[in-house]
Amino acid sequence: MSETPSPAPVRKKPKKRTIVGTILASLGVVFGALWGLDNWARQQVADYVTEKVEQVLSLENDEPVTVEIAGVSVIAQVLTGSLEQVDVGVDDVTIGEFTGGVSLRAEGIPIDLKKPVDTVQIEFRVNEKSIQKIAHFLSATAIDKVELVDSEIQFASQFKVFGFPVDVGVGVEPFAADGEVGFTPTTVSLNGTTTTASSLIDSYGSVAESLLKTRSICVARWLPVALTVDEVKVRDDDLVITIGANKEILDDASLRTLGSCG
Amino acid sequence: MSYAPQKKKRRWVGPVVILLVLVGLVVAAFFVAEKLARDAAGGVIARPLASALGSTSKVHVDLGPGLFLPQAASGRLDNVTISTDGVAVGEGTASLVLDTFGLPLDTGGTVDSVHATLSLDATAMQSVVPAGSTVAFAGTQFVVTSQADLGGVVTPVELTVTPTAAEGVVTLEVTAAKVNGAEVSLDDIRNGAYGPAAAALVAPAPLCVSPYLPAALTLSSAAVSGQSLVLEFDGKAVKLGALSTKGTCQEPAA
Repeated sequence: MSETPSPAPVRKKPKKRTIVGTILASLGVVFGALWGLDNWARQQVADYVTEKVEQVLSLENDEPVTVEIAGVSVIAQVLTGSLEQVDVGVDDVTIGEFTGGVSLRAEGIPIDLKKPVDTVQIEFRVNEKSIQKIAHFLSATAIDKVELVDSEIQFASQFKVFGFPVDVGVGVEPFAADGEVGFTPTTVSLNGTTTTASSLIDSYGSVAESLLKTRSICVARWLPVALTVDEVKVRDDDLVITIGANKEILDDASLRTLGSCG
Repeated sequence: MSYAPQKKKRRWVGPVVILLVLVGLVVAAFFVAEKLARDAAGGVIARPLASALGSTSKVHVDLGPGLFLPQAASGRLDNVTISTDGVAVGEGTASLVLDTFGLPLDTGGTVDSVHATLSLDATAMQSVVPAGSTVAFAGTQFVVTSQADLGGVVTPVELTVTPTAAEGVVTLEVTAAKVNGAEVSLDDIRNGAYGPAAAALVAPAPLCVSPYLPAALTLSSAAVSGQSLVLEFDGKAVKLGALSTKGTCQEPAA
């Protein structure tokens, strides 16, 4: 045992610093609590959105859903009655026969779902492999090759007639307008010689025109009336379909009513 | 398990839309590809056939009502109709319609069945009747008018002929005769009342048409229809390569 230590010299703390320290500490605690609370609220909202997305997309539980809620404070947003922006992303999701990604961005989401949401944009990306699978399924063995090239989908069919190979290719560009999704044949090729549809129409007139006319289907009939197909595009080896809603009430009732074309 | 029924209740629109878009894309592409393939294949089929049939005019190929691409993928076309007006028959031309069922796209293949219709109009008939004769169709028969040397006197002879098909051969049978515009008894002619040349004229004679058609086809009927002599041929399980081999007549046509 050593000798008892001499008591430390008692120093007088400045009073001012104590008060400031106390205030800071209290504020720290309050902010910490608020931050914690906000994070908890954020997590609650994120969990709710994740669950909704999983439910709506019929996802298996192991599909990773990322939910991002923009803005500093979720609680503050909730108090104002609406969330600024929520981004949801699901990569490599398999829905039925399709594999691709889904991303959703909603802006101005009211806490009360009876009120309209400012904007919602849902983007589906279907990869080339899924498209090939479905296209082959749809066309049996008639279409041999399906590829996404630049802005079009290219289909090719090859066969032999009395030993002569015949190689037919068609490039189609999709687009969306007024609730319809249209398809315009843009290029055709025969035994390796590619021609654009427009030059074919120029040289063969109405015969080529009727063959290469744009066809469309009314997609709105299959979608809730609040949602419209904004864009169908080929982008980076994916077929991207964008569905959106503008100032629409997205409650169960409005999602049950289907739309129509023109 | 409360999750599963919930999944079923709410059907997600995403796959529906994607599927619709894909169906649209495939249909749009298919229409164009089908038309292109049809035209291209028609041309490819017509070329060797035109030379095999010795046709001088355009050969039309109708690939049937069924979708062509799936058939092409299977390597066999259900029903292809090939028609041409330019099959050379002597100096004239006859029209030919070849109806094929189960046409293989592989040259070594076998056609399930072929039905051929060869129509010879009056001009084409000119080449198969004795030189200097004219042919006119009347109902189910045709009338051959020629100048025959009957015992040193050149006399107009009109023979009414009925075509029949028997054992793969077209036989022309004279059913009535007019000499110098007057009806005469066929028996009298046959018995030599007008000389041996006239007797030979009214004897049943085979009509040689085999050199105009693939040897693998067998004559099934011969009849006058409208202003043509229509000959029908059939073939079952015919090798595609065999279609380019023409037939021959046992006795050369007079």
